[in-house]
Amino acid sequence: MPAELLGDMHSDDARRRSRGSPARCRAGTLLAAACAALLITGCVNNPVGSARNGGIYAAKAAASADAALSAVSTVQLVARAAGDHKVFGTFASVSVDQQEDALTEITTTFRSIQPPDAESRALRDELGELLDRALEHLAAVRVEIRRGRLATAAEVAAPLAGDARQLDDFAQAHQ
Amino acid sequence: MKKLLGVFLGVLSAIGGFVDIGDLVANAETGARFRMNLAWVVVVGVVGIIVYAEMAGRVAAVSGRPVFDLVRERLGPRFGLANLGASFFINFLTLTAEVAGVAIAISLLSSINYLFIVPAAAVLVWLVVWRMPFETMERIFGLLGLCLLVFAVTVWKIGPDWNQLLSGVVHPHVPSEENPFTYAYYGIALFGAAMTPYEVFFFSSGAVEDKWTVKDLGENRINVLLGFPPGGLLSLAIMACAHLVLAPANIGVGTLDQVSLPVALTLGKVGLAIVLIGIFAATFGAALETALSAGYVIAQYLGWTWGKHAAPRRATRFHLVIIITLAASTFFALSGVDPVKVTEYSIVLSAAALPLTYFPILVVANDPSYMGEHTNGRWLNAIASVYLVVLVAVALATIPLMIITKAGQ
Repeated sequence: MPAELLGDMHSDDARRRSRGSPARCRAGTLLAAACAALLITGCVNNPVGSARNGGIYAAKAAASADAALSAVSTVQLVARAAGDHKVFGTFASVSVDQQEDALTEITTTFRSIQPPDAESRALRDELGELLDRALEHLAAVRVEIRRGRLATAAEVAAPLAGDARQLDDFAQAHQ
Repeated sequence: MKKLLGVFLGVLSAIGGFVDIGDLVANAETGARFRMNLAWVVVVGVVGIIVYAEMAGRVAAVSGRPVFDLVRERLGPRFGLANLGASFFINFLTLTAEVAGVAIAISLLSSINYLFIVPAAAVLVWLVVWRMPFETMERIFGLLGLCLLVFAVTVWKIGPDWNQLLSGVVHPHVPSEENPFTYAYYGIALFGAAMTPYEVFFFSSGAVEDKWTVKDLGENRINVLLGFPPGGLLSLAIMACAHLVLAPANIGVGTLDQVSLPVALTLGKVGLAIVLIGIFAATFGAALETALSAGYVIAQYLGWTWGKHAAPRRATRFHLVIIITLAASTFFALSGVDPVKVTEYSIVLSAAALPLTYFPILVVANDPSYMGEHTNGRWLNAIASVYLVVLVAVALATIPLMIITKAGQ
């Protein structure tokens, strides 16, 4: 057999070896696809999925209340800092915007969960009302800051204290 | 005197350049959620990066070749390719997060939506990579990163009960409202943030760019030993700020403005301006490092001409990889992904890939054919081996914990 052909066969062998068996390739592709799916689903905003029973629904409601509490508390602090002339208007505006977006997303996501029973429906109404009210108060702070009235932002944000307390109570009660 | 000044500036740059968006997010998130109960992970991570960065710098200084180049040669193309794939992917995620971080920092000062700023930030990163000399680039952003020391000033100004603050560090526990899996998941995130693989690729490639030789081994050691621990303290200060201000208000960190809020509340507008400059410098500096690392790893694996010391016309493929990676990161950031979530994923996946980066460094640093008389000593090997076991355990636990905790929820 000519040496060049031997060389070709050897290199073909080597290439085959380096490519691995088809089963191994398939497993590798599947693993890569699984990792990509995990990443994509993790980095985009997930709907929280369905709740099979009242307990799971209550836990999801408590988690939503907790997340909403974080947004509301952040805006309270930003409004306080704005009132004390401790932040720039641009910072306050972007920060409140982001928290309003976060609260809107929490509200939408929570409302998308189907309550499995009557008790859960009552929970949905209770928390839904709290979230709507918080969103309304938060929007008022946003408007005040956008209008450049930083000094009065804390005053406008005062009702958020009540929202925060109620959200905290709700989260504690249903955890 | 000039040499001394160079070393001093190098140490300052190492302190200022230690923190990136991963550290900002991970430390603030854990501080707000677990208070100081995960501070010990930062200490473990900083010791680990000191051990391995010194090794990587020494390998580069003695052999005149960066780590990635030697990985392929010493451990073969297959292992090198697996390493390349994992490192490049994580580096890409980190670059996306850093570019978005730059845009968010500017957005907080200008009130323009950060998505409009992302392309401009990416172009600015590319211009600096293209035009600015390596050392100048390192120094400017490293020194500007020192603005983040304002977090330490904030903690001091708040005047906490130091005994209580330290008790969390010394006697860590899982808070009653959290479960051990979530605690472990966030511990891994912190560890991944402290030992991000791109740091060693950049550090060793940078040593080659700076033309380090055996004579520079002392400077390598000083930079690492004096620069990284204060960088770790800076990370702890960010965690402490979140613990002292955000945790009592029930705030969970999900945005970068929340990270800087404790500084604004304590120090006012001046503090806020300084912290935003610091965040800009930290994320911009890290964006430069990750963009360059993308070019470094691919060019070094494929044996292309690489580096900023080579004229762009001689290292066209190296620069092309940087441009393509930056463009892809920009598009990914513009797709509307949450930058904080991308950061979380990049640091957690970093943790899963840590052995792929650090095992080859340990192998090469023990090989006399590369290192001559500068191979690892017995004690260093003992510490590095313990760390390698920890790295493997962390890597194995990462994905299961990610699934069990639904990515830390």
